[in-house]
Amino acid sequence: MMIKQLKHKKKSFTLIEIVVSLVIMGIGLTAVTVTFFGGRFILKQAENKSRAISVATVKMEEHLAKTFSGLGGLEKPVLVDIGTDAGSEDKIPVDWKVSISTQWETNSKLGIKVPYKVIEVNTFYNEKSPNNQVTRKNVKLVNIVPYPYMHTESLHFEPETSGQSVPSGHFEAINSLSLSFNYPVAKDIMLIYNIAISIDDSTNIKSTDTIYTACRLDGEHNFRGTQTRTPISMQPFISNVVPIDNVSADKNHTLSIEWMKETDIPNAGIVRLKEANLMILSAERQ
Amino acid sequence: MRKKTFTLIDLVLSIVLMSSIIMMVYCVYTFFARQVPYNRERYDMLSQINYALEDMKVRLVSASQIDAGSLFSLTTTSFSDAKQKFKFFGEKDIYKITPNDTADDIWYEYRIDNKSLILETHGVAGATKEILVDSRYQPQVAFEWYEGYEPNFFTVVITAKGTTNPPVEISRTEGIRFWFVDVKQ
Repeated sequence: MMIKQLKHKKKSFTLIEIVVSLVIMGIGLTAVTVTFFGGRFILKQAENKSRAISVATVKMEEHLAKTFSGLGGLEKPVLVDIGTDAGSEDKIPVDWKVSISTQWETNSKLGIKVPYKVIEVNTFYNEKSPNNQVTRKNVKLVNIVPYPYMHTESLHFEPETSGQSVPSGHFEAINSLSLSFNYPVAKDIMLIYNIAISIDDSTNIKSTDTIYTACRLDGEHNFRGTQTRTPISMQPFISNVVPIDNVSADKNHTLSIEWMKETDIPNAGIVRLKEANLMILSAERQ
Repeated sequence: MRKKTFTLIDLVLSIVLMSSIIMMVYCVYTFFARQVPYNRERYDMLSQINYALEDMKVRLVSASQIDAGSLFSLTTTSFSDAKQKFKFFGEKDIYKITPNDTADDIWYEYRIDNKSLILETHGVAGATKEILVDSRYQPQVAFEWYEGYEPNFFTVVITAKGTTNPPVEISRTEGIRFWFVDVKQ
């Protein structure tokens, strides 16, 4: 009888089965939804990070565009720039900080230390997790600016009234024709100068009379490089190139130009400075 | 023998449950259907903006001359200057930088043309146009210089707007540095 009843019983889903299957489906759908929203959060995270990197890159490029000396910075990082890139409806606000420090690289072969600047850009932003927890995020970019291999200093001098006259028989510094410098590394220097003269009075000046010019470093007893000797009446323009090797680092140096005239008859004529250019090309010592 | 059938309660309950499931599936489907083009468009816009900014970065760095109309200048009352287009003379081959030889340089211009952000080149062979951000995203470009910037630096902001409803708007800023020329008068 039992077997007969079972054979004739039509198999169908019970309410329990339907409810259980719904629960399982609900769990499955919840998992899918959570994964999707998690994906959206990850996308948002990537977008926030991308924006923070974008702001950091702009600030980095802004400071990389400055000159080495214009960057500032001491041995310890100095905060040089701070601000906020305002957000909008779709963009999070990003705070930024830029600090610069000066560090040194030792060249053991030459026994010298060469400075370089380290630029560090930090950006900060708040990120909200799906459960509304806010965390402070940080993106950090670091770059360096090497010390320039070459430096130039130049000076142009043109007296407003009558220029300084050339002394006769003894060297004398040409006023306003000197350059002072102080480099953090030892340098090999090339000094170039041009001097134009005017002859105010040519009385007793002979064609063989000449002007000497020479370069002196830091008031040393001896001149550096070659002295020029130029005929006064035939060549009113003097030019010279003076190489000076191994100029020490971290010291105030002064290069000055001196001149004198040598005339057959002492104190002949009056020769004055008309115009002058002075230029220093300095390269890292090799 | 009693024949097993669904009761009215069973039927009503199952209809309610089925409707709920269908509604849920429909909601999830429409949500996905909206999100997919939204995210695809967002990605597409970001890719085009990034491509345009990268193009500017590699071309502008070796510019040897800036067109007079593209140079920035400040008045006594303003502390910034912005331009909607930028024209410069730069290397034709961006991987062969020869600052002392301008014979291999050509004129470039970034601007909005027919609602697209384009790069126009004026070479010996004539002018060409390359679309960087296409018109369906209504791109806007601004080349900006603010007081405090170095003369050889400026920022470029590109903004694009999506076609979805509500439209997604994306904006990216990039700092551009020049090696050989200044952009500020």
